Amino acid sequence: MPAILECRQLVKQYHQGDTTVEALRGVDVHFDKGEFVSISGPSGSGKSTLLHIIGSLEQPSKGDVILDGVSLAQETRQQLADIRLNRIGFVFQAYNLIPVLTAAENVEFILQLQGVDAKTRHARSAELLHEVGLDGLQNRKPGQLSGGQQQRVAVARALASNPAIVLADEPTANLDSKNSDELLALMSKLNQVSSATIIVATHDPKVIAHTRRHIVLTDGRIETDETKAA
Amino acid sequence: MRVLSILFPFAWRNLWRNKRRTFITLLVVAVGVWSILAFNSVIRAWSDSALVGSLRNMTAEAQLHAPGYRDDPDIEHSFAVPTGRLAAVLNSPMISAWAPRIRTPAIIQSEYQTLPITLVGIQPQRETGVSFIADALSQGQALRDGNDDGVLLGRHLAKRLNTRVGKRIVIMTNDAHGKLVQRGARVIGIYAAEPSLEDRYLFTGLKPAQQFLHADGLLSEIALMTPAQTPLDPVLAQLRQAAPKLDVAGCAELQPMTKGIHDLTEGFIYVWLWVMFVLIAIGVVNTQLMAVFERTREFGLLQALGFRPGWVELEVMLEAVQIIGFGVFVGALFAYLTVQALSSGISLGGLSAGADFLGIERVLYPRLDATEFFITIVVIWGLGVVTALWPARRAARFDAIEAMRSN
Repeated sequence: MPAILECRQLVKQYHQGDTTVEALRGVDVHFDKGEFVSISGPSGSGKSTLLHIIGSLEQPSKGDVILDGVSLAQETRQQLADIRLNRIGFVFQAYNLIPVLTAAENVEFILQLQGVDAKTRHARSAELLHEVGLDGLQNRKPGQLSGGQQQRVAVARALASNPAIVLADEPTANLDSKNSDELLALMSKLNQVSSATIIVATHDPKVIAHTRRHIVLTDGRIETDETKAA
Repeated sequence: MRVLSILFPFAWRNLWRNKRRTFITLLVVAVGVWSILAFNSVIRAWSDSALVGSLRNMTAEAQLHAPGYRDDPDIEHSFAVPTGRLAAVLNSPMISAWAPRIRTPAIIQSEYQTLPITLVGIQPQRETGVSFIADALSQGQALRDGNDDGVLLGRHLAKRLNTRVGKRIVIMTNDAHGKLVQRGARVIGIYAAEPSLEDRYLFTGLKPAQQFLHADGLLSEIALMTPAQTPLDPVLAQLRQAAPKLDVAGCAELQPMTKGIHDLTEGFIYVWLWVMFVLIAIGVVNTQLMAVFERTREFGLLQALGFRPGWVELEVMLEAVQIIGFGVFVGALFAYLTVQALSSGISLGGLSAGADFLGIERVLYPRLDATEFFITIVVIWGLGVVTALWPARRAARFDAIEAMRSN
């Protein structure tokens, strides 16, 4: 499998007054197309920071991220926004849906920004909401959906534009056990159906169990990087 | 354009997330615009009325005199009835009305009292649209024409002289040769105007006045008015060319105080506009800032989803465009309706004595000038949107990660 994403010697330092905190201390890792990867580690190990840098939401202090052959370090703020719009999907712990839009509109919003025509958008959002088991709820606003349903909409939104990678930051942290299981089953299924590489930062052993590859970060360094046998 | 078509309805929906706040902002903008436009039309009606009243008193928009008359308003400073080029200009379409007069300081005597006045000989038909006297009769009859040797007295002067219609009075003055002359005349009518005018002017026909002053064919002044919206300066220039030996003066020169008060009122309207605009701007900026800080997390999310920083700014600006636009529309509509409702006139009723004293008419007619109306709307809308730039920039500068961490 070709590497869709490469992290080269990523270092991230935060300055708080006179103190410098190193969140990442030279992370070197690559991800292949279609992988389903979990990243775990204790709090402060750098999981979220790594995800944010991969998602171009933060700039590394040193090192580079190469997404599909494009060096993110060379891109402008606007170009990075375009990369996020077209190549990266996000699923956040707190769902983060747009409250004034319905479930279907949340899914379609990114497609709309990409200039996809209305007919294709409607078809795609209907297909994805069906996939995530939200048939009939497409016209509900986030406030009218349960936490589990909102997270499914967030997953559908992340996959709407067929991104190269989907980054999920603690996606099950706010869900109960049943909803967590359903969401993981859904993400596994979508990973198989789509060609997207899914990278999940998590503390949840159930999530780790669902992924084939598991990376453990400790003190900003990769401690282990294991892939289960097929 | 595509992004605009997406963000416009998105901004509209965001606007109504907090209905109470949106209504308050709308109210601030609408009341501000309404007050600017409605207040402006009433104040302008007042100011114009005062100016017109003042000009119609006796000044008119411009006057022609013999040189030196304005320093020494005596019959010695007179000039011949206009002919030739000057008459052509006076009768051209650039002048709507003009009135020849002869006037001189005089003394009036009744059986009971002797008082100083200004004797004015007029052609009454020509005074229509030039001075107040054409429609100020309150008792008796008006002067028939320029040959009428009866006199019109002001109401207050008649009271002070203890005279009335039908009684005789005596007028004394110096004639064109500097000799003291006097004649008796019958009071044929009493006019009502500002008290100072009533005390000051005594009117009679032009011809009898010229004969009395031994100034046949001579005038003290020509007062003139131009058609509405006609700039005065080019008219004055034409008159100066046509009568280079005469002193041609506009109302600003003749009544600098009145003009100054009119300009001050205009200035006050602009001050009011800016005060209201500052209030609107504070309201808009506050609301927009509140809206932006309440949605910090969402702006972070939008950036994470691929919103360009410019799109965030545009979204916030569009909210301002819509709410201010809506407020301006509502305010302008109510202002229009208010002025329409008042267009039949605001009667100053019990204030009429004060109105006379201030030289304004007893009924004010507010009106909206279409150009000014639209310029005000566009300026308030435009400036209001500009004030929203600050909150919009703040929103665009949020760090996506920090923003999403906020509650």
